[in-house]
Amino acid sequence: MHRGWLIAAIGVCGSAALARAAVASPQQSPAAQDEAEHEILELRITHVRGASVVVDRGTADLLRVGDRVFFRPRDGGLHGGLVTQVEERTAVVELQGAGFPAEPGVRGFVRIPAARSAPQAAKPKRRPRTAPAEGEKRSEWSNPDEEYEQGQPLLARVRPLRPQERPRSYSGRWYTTFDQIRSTEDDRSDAFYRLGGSLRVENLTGSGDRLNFDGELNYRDTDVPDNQDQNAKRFRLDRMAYSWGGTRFEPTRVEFGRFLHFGMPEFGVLDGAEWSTRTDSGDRFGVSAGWLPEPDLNYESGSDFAVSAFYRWVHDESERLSAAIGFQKSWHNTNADRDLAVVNFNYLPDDGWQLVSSAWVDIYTDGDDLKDQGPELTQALINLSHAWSAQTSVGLRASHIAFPQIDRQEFIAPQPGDFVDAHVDRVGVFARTALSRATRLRADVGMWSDEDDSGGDAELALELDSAWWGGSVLGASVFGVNGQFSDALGGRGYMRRWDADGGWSLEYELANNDLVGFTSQNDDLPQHRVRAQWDHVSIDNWSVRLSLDAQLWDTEHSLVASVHVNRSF
Amino acid sequence: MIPHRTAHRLSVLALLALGLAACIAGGSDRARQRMWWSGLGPVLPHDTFPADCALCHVGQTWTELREDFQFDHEGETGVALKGAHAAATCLRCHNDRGPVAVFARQGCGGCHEDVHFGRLGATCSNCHVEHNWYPVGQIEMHRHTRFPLIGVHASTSCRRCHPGAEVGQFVPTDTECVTCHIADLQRATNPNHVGLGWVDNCDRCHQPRTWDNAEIDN
Repeated sequence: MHRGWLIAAIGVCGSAALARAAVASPQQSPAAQDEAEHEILELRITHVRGASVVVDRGTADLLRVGDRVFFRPRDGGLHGGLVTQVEERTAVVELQGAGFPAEPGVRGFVRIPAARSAPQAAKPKRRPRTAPAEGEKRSEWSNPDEEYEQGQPLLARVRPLRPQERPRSYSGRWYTTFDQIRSTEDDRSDAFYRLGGSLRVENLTGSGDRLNFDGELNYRDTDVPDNQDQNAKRFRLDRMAYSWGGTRFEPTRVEFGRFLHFGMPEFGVLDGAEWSTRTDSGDRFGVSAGWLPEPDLNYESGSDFAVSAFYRWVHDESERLSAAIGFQKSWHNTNADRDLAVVNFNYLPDDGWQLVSSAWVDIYTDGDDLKDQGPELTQALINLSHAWSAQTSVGLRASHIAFPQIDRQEFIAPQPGDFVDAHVDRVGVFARTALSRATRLRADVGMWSDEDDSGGDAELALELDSAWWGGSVLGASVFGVNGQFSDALGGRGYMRRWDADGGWSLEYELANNDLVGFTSQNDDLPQHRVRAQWDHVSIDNWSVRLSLDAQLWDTEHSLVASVHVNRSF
Repeated sequence: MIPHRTAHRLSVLALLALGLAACIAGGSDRARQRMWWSGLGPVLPHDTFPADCALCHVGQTWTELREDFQFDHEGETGVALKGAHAAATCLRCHNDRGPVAVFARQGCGGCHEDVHFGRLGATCSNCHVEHNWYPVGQIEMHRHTRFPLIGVHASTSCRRCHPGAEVGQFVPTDTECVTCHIADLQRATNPNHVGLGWVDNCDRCHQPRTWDNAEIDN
């Protein structure tokens, strides 16, 4: 054992010249003799898997199961391992002994018996390389490591490609969706057809710029009593914007057209321009000006002009800790409308914690007669979670939503008498955990409060993997809701299966709804729901979804049928 | 009382203050050129890749990959590429806009536009699936609100209550009946609801089972 480590140490020191000299001498030392009988194969850890590591050498390099590997961490020492699996280009090495700080990039070596390489015919063939065409010159790989410093990523000093050296690329998708709702109650029906697409051109002019289109054609046919039928076709342009910069080669970013604010998306979609830049410390700030389309199916623009500014601070390069503040002022038909301040704070460490928070503050003046003048918190959102693994996590979600007094059409406003106090606060917690390798438990509990009432909800669900078929999930949940107009107690059972070609799901739900404010004679509304869904996805990025959703209550029922076809490119 | 003119001045001052703060921070000594942003290295971290470049690259342009190029993203990085991500080209995520680890830490919003303006939380997969982004589970989700969807509401188009649904805007939404049913109220002439002053608390007589019939509370 000690001899092996001594030989290894010689290998580490790289005293090849000394060893060769010894080989050449008539009387070889044991170490030199060993050197003559073995070849040193340098390798590097590429991946760490618990007590094993993956190295970048394999059968193509004459590595075999059982070979002993020695690793040399940068902070010194020598650690051993045994090859347990070998593929053409990689091998798995089981580490021996504790205390080895295995990490990707750590170098090591193996002593390959010289006899193993003697019969060249037995050597595995490498992948065929394309021979250079006649007349074609290929320069040698040049990647000198002289400038490499410890702590830098491999290839850190390699000159990265500039945008002008990259080809133009196109990506996007098109989709079509058809939803048909039919209800036995007064024979109501609603048909909604959508045909949409998006196209993104990267590096349009070779300067790292981008062109972005996104639009949708809608056709709706609603058939209801009381002559309220609706039949309409609309085309909505969601995005049409050109942007440039904002890369590591160009800290300043400019975008114009119809786009979602880049620096602070809370400010919404803009028909205008945004300028922002990144400081050397990673902070970003910018300004924008333009018209805000009304956020509905028409996206009408031209009535609401807005200017805004933001500053986003990041603690360090990783951006685990960041905060942003922004201010937007808008005018509706040239009259001063909204003064909105937004503050964001995010903490995203790598240890499983995640905090995402946002606060919207509307500032009212004497033109806002329904609200008290001064600031009002109209929206606050906090998401705090901790995940121990993909299966086990807990979290808290809290929100406060109120109605800002604005002239712009953004939502269906409550009646004037209710407007001032209308709000809803909600706090919810959730937990997910794996009871076993194939069983998961999920729990959600929440409470809400608004200007009139308060209530809560809870749901407990159990999921079992591969109960009947491989890849399937069988689930069941019970839930209870204390709502504003109804309370409910119910259960849901579902089964779904998914594989590389798509999947399907079946769901049944039964809930007894207790209508608030009515006596026991007519306050129960049992409701059944059955849902079936089938999905197909193809390797060339097609996906098709068919679904049927049936609801049954009292003597009525309704059916929602949907078809969705999507093709990404 | 904050007069209009004063409010406008305050708004301008706030914008100027933000701009000033930005300039000060941008020119401060704490700023330092950082490795990724200064343009060092390729956009894809190669730390764990084999040393033989020809395993993946063709020629020396770095932009062309071998035809038989394959990469086990989950096995090599621990991050599974699900849905449409599995077929995306590497540069869709690994590009010059920033270190991919920074974006990945932010979840979906790190790369994708949040068309909900952050109002629906950071976990997109609560509603969307990754292979076609089609939203599912909205009726189940309403069981976690003050307005669970029952009766006719469970088979109604989203936009009837959320006029911004087509462009991803769902809040704020008021749950008072009359907010959405004001036209129904005005049409109700037998008896004449408006004339009788029956303009609120619709749930005293109406249940959300159907659109029409009132239920008499015995």
